[in-house]
Amino acid sequence: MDLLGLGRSGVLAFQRALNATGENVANADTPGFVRRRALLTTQPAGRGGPLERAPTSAGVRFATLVRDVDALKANAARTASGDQARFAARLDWLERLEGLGVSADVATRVGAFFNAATDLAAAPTNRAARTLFLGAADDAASAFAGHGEALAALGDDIGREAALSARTVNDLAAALVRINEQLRRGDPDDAAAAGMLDNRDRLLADLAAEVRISINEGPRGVVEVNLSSGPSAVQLVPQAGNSRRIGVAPDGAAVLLNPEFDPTPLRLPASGRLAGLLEASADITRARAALDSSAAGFAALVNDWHGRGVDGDGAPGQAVFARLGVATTVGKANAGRAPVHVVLADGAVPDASGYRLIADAAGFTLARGDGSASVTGAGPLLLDGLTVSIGGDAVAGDQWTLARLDGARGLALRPLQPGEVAAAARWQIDAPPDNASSGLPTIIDDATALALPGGDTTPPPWWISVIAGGLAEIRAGTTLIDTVPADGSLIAGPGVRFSVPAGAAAGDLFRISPTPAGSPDNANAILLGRLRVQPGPNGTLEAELAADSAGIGARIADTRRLEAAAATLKEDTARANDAVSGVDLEVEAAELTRLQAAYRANAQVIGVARDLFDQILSLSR
Amino acid sequence: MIPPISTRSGHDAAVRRLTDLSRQLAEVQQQISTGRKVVRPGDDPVAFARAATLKRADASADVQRRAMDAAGSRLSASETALASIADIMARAKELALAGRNASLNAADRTILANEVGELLSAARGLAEARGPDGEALFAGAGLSPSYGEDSEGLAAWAGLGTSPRVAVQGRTLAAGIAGPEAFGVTAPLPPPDPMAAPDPLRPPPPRARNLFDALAHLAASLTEARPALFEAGMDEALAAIDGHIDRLAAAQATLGTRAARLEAEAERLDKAQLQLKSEVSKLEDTDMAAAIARLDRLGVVLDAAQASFARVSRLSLWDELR
Repeated sequence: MDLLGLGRSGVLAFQRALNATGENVANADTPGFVRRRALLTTQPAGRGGPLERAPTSAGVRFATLVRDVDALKANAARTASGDQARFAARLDWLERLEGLGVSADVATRVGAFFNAATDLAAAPTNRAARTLFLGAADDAASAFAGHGEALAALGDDIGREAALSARTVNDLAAALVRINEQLRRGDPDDAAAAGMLDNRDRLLADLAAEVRISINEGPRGVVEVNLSSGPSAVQLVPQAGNSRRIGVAPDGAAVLLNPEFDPTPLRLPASGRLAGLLEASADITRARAALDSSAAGFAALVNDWHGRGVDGDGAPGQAVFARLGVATTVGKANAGRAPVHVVLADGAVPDASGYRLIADAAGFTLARGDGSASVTGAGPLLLDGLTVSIGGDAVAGDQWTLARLDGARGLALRPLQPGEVAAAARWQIDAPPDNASSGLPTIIDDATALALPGGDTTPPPWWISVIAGGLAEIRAGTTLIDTVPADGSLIAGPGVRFSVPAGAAAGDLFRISPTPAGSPDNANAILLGRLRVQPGPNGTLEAELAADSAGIGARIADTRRLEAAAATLKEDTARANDAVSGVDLEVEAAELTRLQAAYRANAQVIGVARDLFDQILSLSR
Repeated sequence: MIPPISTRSGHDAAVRRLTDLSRQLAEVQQQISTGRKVVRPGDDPVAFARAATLKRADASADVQRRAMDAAGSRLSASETALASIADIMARAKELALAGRNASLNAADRTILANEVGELLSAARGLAEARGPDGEALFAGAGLSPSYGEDSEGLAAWAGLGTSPRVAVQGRTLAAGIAGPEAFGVTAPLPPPDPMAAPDPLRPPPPRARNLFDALAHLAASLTEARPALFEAGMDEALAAIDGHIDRLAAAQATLGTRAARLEAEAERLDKAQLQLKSEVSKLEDTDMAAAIARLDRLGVVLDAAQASFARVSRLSLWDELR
């Protein structure tokens, strides 16, 4: 009788153990599956009373299903995977940023513009050279504008991805809340609970890939999840109750707790995909700011330079680049699909507050953002130099927002004619070859100088003859208009300042005359070559642009190294965790053999018991 | 601890190692097929920044060469025109010396004067020469014509400023020569002395004349009938022509020096560009020998890894379970 009981208990227990091994083998390739182990224990012996077990050798029983898990190793694996996810996300977006920079190649195109100026200096009156120069200017402007647009789009994309990552965190937190509830209700030792715990660990691993978390495990495997760890930890999922929500600030720079109400910025450790996205987002913002500042510097340099010269018609050079533009955004709730076309007149300055275009039953209203001016009508609307044409198919209530663009995105070539390129300097200075001194007067444009020291406002051409006593007489035609010192000091004239060289001898003659239309002079074009190599605070303009690209490259190289290190660490910790929790098919095969043998032996015990019975029964016959 | 291949992580790790080898192989293959090492800033930021600087210098050296070529052809066009004018002046000097000979009569001198007149118009024509870019060579920054007539009917420079310049090594060099420097200027007439009695036989005071006015003066002196004025006029004309021949020689020398400087600079640029290109190549180009050797080695390693992976994963206890 007893032997039969023993055999039965053994068969049942080893069946459970074989089941566990079978499950291990079946789930050998399931991510997040933790190896199960059946724990067998001796059946407690009774005292052998009428209603109790026998006092000796009561057999074996299945005690519990153990999940082979090491909380510390699992936590290390989670943390390492979060660190790796951070660098992987950062690397991914930085590589996109780099790719945009490589394809836009702003530095080379700006260099091509300056090179076109050198070509212009070699053939200043050549229409083809002037046209090519304007083409190169257009290309440089569109390099800035196009790259600016691409970076803005990239910034929007990464903002969306960060928001998605925050949403993933919220969804995972909500799922963990449900798992906590089920864990509290269920039986802690059965297979269903083990599956639930596997699920819980999977969710925790996914969550740790997004943000750094710390975990407090309660009874029955219920977890409390905190963002970050230590005293600054913020509770995300409580052991009982609802989770809290996080979001990304609109500027993409910070994580907020309770984004919908009472947004509080969180300072989270730099780990997890969300942190990587925020870092890359900051890099993109920096790249945009650097590009905007380079674009502003470039436009200011070129416009200022061009104003110093005179064009083919003898007129002062106009601004080459327009620095403002307008971007149109379609309202999110628009019912119609009317196309809106906005043209900004040359030289017009759109209002800084932007504009709103609203369709109503009667027509359209275009209003400044601050409401200080508006126009209403059906056809093209004109306001502040903007011409807004709206296609059909608008539904009353549709809205569009027009924002002023500046920085790189607003940069554009103004509609200049080839003849309007100012390759020549404004003034021509010459002297007869028989002057005793070889120096020439210098002249600087200066709008604040209004008249000669004597009060005369006759502009050049002037003849300057040096007389005795370190003085020089200035004549317009034959009329003496002023006598000035000839010692190299700056003398104000109408719109200019000039100096007579100090070494000039009495009797020397100089002439200052305005450059005529169509002059082959190339002094201004050559000046641009000099301005090109003039270093700013961060080196020349092109060096600054190249340094920006190289800076992104350095950050990528850095991130790549960190990512490789983090990936190695992730692999190591995952391996250490797997050594405890993972399924090794060889081990399972060995286990299976062992358990099978044990099962068979127990079955044999039942057989022997039955034989004994049979023998005893046959005795009585 | 290396996990056995029978575990999920061990299997994944083995596969990852194989993938990594394939990736490296593809990278080396790409380096070989494109011939370039550095393609993006992230591959090697320092090399990228350096290569960007070098390439910028290379591109601007290209246009600098073009600008210097244009300036060089303008200089040589100016030199050619000046050489022709120098020939004219040599002929004018011959005529002047011949005309000064007392054995010639008035009719002979008129013939000489006519030839001088022809020489003058030829010189005026050459002074309006245009460069390869179609701009007047001797008008400085002014427009064609280079020479006009002043109130006395004399040739006067109509240009202004100096010749267009070319930037060389941060400095600028005039790519040509302006009229006054090559041909001199005519001094204005001194105001007549009211105290002196008019004397038709007294020669007028000597005056500095530009090349064209000097030729006109020679022609006028050749036909001067009054002996005293003829002598004085011919002496002055001969001296002026000698002066102009010297001035032309100096102008040609100036142009030659500038052309030589451009040439030297062009040579320097060529050398610098060669250096730049070789440095860029050192930074960016694939070292073929090393890359091919690496490709071979990676191929062998990948083969071995794949074979051993297949071999090890074939060994299993499960085959022994019956």
